[in-house]
Amino acid sequence: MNELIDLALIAILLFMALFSVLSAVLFKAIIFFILLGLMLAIIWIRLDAPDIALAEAAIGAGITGILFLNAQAQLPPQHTQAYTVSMCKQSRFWFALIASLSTMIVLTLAVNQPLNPTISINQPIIEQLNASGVEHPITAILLNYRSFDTLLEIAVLVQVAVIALSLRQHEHIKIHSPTLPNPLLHACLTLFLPMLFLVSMYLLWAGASQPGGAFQAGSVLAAAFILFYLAGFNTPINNHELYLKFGWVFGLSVFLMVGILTLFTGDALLAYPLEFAGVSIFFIEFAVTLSIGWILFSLFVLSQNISLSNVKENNE
Amino acid sequence: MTAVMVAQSILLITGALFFCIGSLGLLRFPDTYSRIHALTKADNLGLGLIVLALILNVDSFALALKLLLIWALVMLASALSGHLVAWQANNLSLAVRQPNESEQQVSSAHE
Amino acid sequence: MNSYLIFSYAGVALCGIGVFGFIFHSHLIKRLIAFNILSNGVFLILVGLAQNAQKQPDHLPQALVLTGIVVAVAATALALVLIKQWYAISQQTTLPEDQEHQ
Repeated sequence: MNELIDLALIAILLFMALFSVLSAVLFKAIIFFILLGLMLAIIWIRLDAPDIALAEAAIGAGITGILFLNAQAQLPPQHTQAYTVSMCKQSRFWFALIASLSTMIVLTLAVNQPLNPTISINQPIIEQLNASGVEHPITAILLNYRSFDTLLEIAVLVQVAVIALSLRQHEHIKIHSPTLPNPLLHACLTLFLPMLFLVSMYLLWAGASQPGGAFQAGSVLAAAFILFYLAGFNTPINNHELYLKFGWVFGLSVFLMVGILTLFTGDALLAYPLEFAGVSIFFIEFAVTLSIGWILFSLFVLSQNISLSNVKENNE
Repeated sequence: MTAVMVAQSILLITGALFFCIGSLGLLRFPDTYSRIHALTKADNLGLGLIVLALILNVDSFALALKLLLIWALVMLASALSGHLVAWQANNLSLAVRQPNESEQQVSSAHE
Repeated sequence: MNSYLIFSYAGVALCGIGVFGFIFHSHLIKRLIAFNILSNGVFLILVGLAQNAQKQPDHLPQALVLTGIVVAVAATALALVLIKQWYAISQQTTLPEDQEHQ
């Protein structure tokens, strides 16, 4: 019975992927991609991975979908409608088909190789969980055992935000700002924004012992900021470069500061002293949550072709 | 099969049925405004029935409240987004179509 | 076939669909969608294989996939900014070597 459910989920997933890739209209392709993300979130639950399910639903389907729809809305219709050349006559179609089939054959052969793990890495992870400061294994891996990888991941996010800022358009491009000056939206925001902040902090706090954590909380925070921006509240914080940059580097700098502090008190970079492990993990997670929310939100804002006010060329 | 399981099954199947009816309305209704009716009303009722079915199985009161909160939030969000879609459709002057009219009749009537 | 290996095969199929879409399409945003489908397929293969080898949930690949999802969204955002720059410069949404095919 479980196999049938898995097969049905996978069949729907592959149909979504096929429709997304084969549909001629760009809007349809994006909608099917968002649906693919949501089906994938359910499949992650079937794979006993609730953290990935949360992250996929929030980041993979939510934030990526918003970014794609935003990009699609700024293109004029001739670039998003169907093209008229029939597919099978193009040589490119057959080349793509052969490449994809050979990829699938190679990957199937690779997946069929039996895995013989000589060590079980789950054992030491569970055994050392008491010393790591949190009770959830994935949070322990992300912020204690492999905290250096998470540090570099935050650095990648900051780098992408910096590149997006440096590539922003200037005044000769038509300004497109997707605001919805709707009174119902403003009224509902007074209800939604506090709830979104509460949910984000709850996900952050619950990440210590249940599925949750900094990335999921950061993406809920990004959704709150994007909703605030879409309602038309263009505060100076969105537009001023200095506030943007401060928000980005806040998480990375707190992470680095804690790491450098542990160089003095511990024995290695980011090796927390045992009695402060939980506190320092929460400290880092809080700063990283705020930063991730701010970075994802500013990636949305910076793709708007708006030239930022208070840009002083001689200060850069 | 205890009484709770029977009640849960009935609620789950009815909820799924409401979702199917909502999707049927999405496919069959002629214009944007009536499709919003089908999506927001029928889907939220289906979600409410599924949430009720899940609550019957829950140990702690806090978890039951969280499930009800999910239903309330989805209702709020779909009400808001349904209104926004209809507002934007009104701004773009999308036509209100009857079930038997086709696109050409409506666009010629609105010239 | 074990219960979890089927998800790895689903990941393989997603990778195939992603590769097909990436090579076939000339519209840059559709290529980006196909690239995202490809990375989701890779994540499915990774977690499906790891889950298959052990009887309890394997946490290390799950943390890797979590990192991978966040990096994928960052790369997608950067690619969208670049595509918009290209569109602003050239009024085209395809690369120059693909434009004669349209």
